[in-house]
Amino acid sequence: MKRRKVLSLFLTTILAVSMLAGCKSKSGDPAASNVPDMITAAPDSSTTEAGGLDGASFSLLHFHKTTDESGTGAAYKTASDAWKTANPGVTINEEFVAHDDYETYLKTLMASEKLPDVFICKGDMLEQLAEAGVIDPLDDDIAGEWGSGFSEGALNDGTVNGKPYTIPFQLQANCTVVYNKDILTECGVNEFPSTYDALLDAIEKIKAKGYTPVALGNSAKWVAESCLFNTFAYRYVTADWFNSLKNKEGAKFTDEAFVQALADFQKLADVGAFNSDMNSIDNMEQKKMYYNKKAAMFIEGAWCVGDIIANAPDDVKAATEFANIPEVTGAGGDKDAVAGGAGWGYCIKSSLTGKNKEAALSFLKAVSDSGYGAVALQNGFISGSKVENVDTSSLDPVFAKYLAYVSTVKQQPIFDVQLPAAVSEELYARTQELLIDAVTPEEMAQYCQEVLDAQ
Amino acid sequence: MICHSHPVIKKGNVMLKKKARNKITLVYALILVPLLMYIFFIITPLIISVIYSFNKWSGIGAKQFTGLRNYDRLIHDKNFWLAAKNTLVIALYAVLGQVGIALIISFLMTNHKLKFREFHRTVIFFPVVMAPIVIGFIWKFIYNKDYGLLNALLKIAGRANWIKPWLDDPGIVVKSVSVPVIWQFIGLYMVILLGAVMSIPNDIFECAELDGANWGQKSIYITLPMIWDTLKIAIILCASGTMKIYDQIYVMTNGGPGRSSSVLTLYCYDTTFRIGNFGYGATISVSILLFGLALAGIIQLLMGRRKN
Repeated sequence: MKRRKVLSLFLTTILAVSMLAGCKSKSGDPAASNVPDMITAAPDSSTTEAGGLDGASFSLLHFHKTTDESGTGAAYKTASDAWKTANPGVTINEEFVAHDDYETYLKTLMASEKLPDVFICKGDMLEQLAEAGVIDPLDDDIAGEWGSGFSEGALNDGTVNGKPYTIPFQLQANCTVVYNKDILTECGVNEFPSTYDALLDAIEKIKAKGYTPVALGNSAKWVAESCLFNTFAYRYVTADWFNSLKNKEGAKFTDEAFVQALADFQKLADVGAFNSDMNSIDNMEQKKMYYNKKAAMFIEGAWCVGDIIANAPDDVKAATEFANIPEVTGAGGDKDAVAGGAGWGYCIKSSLTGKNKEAALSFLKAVSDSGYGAVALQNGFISGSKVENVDTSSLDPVFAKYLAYVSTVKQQPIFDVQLPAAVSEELYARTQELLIDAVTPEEMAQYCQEVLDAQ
Repeated sequence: MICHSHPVIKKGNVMLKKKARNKITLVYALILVPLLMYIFFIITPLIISVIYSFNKWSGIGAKQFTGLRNYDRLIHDKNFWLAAKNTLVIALYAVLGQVGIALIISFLMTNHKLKFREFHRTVIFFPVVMAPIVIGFIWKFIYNKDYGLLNALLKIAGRANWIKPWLDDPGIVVKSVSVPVIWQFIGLYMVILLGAVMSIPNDIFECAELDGANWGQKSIYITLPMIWDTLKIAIILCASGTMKIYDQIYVMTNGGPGRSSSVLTLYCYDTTFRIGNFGYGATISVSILLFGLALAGIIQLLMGRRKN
């Protein structure tokens, strides 16, 4: 009896102590269990040892899935492995978080002031970080060959007050129309419609043959706004209009041209361009509809090219072509404009200094410069750096077709990367409603403007 | 009294007292563990949330004390009231569906003619042990337009005209997302109510049977009054638990189309982590707490009075 009591007291104490220990690690150890060894091993920036970068260390948070066989994950793995082999004396405390969870995770780290030394950040968060002094501009660090090697527009999304705060590693068109030319031919549409009116015509013909004209999976809310409407809107308004809107310099969502863009976009849904369950399926399912030849086309960002290469059946792959959203005659926009850009980029925390920062910069150069650009192309995506003398014969034919398409477009600011998140959320939610006629174009413009004004 | 003077008994008494004291120490030590956990994981974050709710804070840099401004904004926020309305409607459906159906099932379980009682109980309880996120995915497929189970069944039954865009029509989407929520937790309340039903002494039923009471009369005049307090707790648990509903709706509609199936937790999450407004997000989470407490209070008041 007594022994049992002693035992239970002992166990209670252990439980209590272990819980307190748990508390300590929660509040004391910055990263707790989710971020193993990341911050605890954070560098002591004052130490400087002789011998190149040996002994330097930094922590890194990213969303490159290195187990992927193609795309950004594979390219990152190739380039980062090569750098690590060349710099065995540098310790990188690297952590991966899946892309869909990344933003939430990053915001949690920000709020608890536990950001790693180097992390990937999206354009709309930079201003706050820069104002709080968490990150410094990188213009001096990337000066010279590295900085001049970036493609035109690659630095736009990471620029705050005219200075670059991020190092871009990708340059993606947020919108590309992917269509099956065999299905179009079968429906009597011999070439991809070049105007809005021709598109409406084509939709009727495709529907008559029993196909869904455009597969749309918008349950995550951003697809219709970011990949379809944003570029469609550039047929009516210009990048200058958008910059004026963003900086509150006169342009408004309620301007006639933008409302007209909303109205014509709504008309596409009204004439049955999309599947009726567009707001309850996701963008994986929209691709499946296309792969299963139920839909004649779908519209998504550059990242879908890797998925087509990996998952589409061979006959669909062979029939796949890329195009831009058709021109709207007399609407005033630019027929070659596409919402696109780097979106995300690497940031360096201002607390990282000395040799550790040098090591971080050296590493980031390896995963973003033109050498990386060549590796990226081999893996089916376009980096933020220019690549000279591309040999398209060694590329996947689908990716080569995409490259040909993307060389004809002009990348313009992505609304939901550059606008405050509250406005983007409003645009997403209202676009869903617009597509099912739950809101009129005028009302939607009004609501979005109200949210923008409140920022 | 004589016993006290007896040395052996006196010694025994002292030992008994010592034993009792040790036992009390042990009890307190054991209680301390969950208490500390409760303080650390529930009370502390709650207090921190309340503090945040008086601040403007984007998650980076210094917090700015703004007093009741967040609460003022909350009162005038249409999106918040839409989410609150949806949450309360789902809570109402959940109470009627989960506790209501569970009550009927537990009445049926008292029926002597029922066969395979254990089997029924296990099958009905099964969804409770599944993760809500899995339930969300399963029902997303059930509702799917092209290969969903529901539409397929309707077609087989010759009722193709009943087919609706289950998750795409703002008019019915709240009802559609409530069904999986109800379905998942019937088993939980069935087990709670069944426990109460089982604890009713059998002789009461036997007496009633001798007096010629049928199954319906026994249920209404014996079972229901005898399990009233348990029923009250079940309803409070169900209503306040539904205030926390998140996963199923996040998976099925993400609050859409537009915001038509948005609930408080989803709105709180989006405000905090997507928009990055930690102060206002905390205000919404405090409102969830207040709604939960108010609901529990109202139910207590209504059901307590009826019993008297």
